[in-house]
Amino acid sequence: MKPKDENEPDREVATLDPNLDAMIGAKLRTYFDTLASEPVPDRIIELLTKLDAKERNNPPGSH
Amino acid sequence: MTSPSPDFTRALMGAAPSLRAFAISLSGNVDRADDLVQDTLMRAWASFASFQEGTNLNAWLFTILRNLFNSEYRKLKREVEDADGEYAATLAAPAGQESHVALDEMRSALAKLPDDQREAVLLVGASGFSYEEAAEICDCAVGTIKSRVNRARARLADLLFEAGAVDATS
Repeated sequence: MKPKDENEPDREVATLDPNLDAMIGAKLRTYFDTLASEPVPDRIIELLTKLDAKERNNPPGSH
Repeated sequence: MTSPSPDFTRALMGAAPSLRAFAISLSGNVDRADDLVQDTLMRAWASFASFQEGTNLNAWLFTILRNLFNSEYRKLKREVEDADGEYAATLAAPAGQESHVALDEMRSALAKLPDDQREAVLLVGASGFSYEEAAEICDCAVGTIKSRVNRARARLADLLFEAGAVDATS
């Protein structure tokens, strides 16, 4: 097998075994989903709630 | 429509968890990631008028976050903790020991990737964006994204094999 050529990026797909590629894909998704299943901190929820409340109480063009 | 609707607020709430996962992965630091998400949401709110209804809100938000990270947060990166487990320990969810290990292994493997490969593989491989969407988010050609993703996955495979996280026999 010829060595990887940095200028032939598309060939690299073929160099990674499909099973391995699938495993890496699954691990990446699990990793990301685990992080994304974390509760969002209160300060972020509060920020959005405040912004929204401000908008409701004082919509632009209401005066 | 010129001002954010309750629907927009709900959509931002809905996007927050995956924005946060992306931010944590980019910055390697949970507190900084939360600042980044907060900045992103504030900016999204302020630039609501520039969001085209019917276009992909998630892609728009990820673009804002990614650009903010590159312009203001990237320089702060990697002065971060390397202590084993400290990263997982800062997460709120009481994940099992095994998933903590898996999380840490992927985290440290991702940290070893070049920045452009890391963001590409996170967008396409983890967040579920298409190559085309990721190319728009990163403001580059689709072929460039494909190439970065391929390199990243090959490198991750090497790193995780080294770390013993991938069992080649299964």
